[in-house]
Amino acid sequence: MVSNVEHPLSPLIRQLESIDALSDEECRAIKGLPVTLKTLRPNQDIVRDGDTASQCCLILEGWACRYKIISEGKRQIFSFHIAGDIPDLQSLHIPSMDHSLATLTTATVAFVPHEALHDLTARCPGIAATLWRDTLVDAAIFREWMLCMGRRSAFDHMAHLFCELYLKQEAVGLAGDHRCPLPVTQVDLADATGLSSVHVNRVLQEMRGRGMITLRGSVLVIRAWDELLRTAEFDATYLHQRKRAAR
Amino acid sequence: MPLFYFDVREGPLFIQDEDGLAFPDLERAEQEAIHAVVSIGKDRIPRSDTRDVTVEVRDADGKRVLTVTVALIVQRVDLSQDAEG
Repeated sequence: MVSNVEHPLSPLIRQLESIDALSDEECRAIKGLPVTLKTLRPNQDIVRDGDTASQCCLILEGWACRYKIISEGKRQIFSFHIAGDIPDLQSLHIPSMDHSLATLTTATVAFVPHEALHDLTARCPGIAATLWRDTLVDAAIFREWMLCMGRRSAFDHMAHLFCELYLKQEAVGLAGDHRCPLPVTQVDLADATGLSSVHVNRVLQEMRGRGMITLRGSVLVIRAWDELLRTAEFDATYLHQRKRAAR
Repeated sequence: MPLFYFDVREGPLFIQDEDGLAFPDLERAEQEAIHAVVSIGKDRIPRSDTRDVTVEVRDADGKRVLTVTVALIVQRVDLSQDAEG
């Protein structure tokens, strides 16, 4: 009999399947990982710059971000993370943390000991390849962020970010109909884009004014998807999503 | 922390801040206004006909407490006059 209760590691499987094919056996092996579940408050550090990690953190619910703070107190957010992501997967092979990982919202996370992940990847080379692929997609996203930060206008940058966050959530079943959660503050968006909060606000007002989006109560509704894609020169190739490539 | 509203003026364009941001004091609000006006100026001035950007800060009662402006001045040198000297 198949149970209706979802396995706690299902978000991870959905995320990995959005970028690669997994066999039933591989899914079973992933579900067999020993995990410690924890509920965290918003804006709580999960692992800090300078720490030596002995486990990886899988997000099951809520949002997290990777960041670093410079001496003047300014924070740069490097990436946003949603359910199914393992933001500190790199710590499996590079345990010295060179940045921090924190929650943005209340979050449920699963901690997986490095030992168990090493054992899993040794037993299942297919999973090792999928996790490698995941870190490569991660790097591809960094390249796009760099391009946005260095070269695009603030408006196009924000448009690009919204396209990405929508498609990432859509791929794992967290969004649809051009509507998705966006549980971040204007300050978070400013720290992720390198803009000031006021500048972010100015861009959001213009997007609203042009009828491209609405943003209310942590829900982003994209009202002019094609126009948003066009202005951001958004090409989803860098997300390397399996279904998108098959279309 | 008190709320401050940061309205943006770019030439004829006026964008009113409806959400506001909380800062401990006017000093910190002014720092944000400076960052904002420089950030918006750098973004908008090279990409449009806008030559000046102003951030107008209102307090929670709607009273204006600060304005910060950046402006671009381009002056071409008249080379024909140079030749005489």
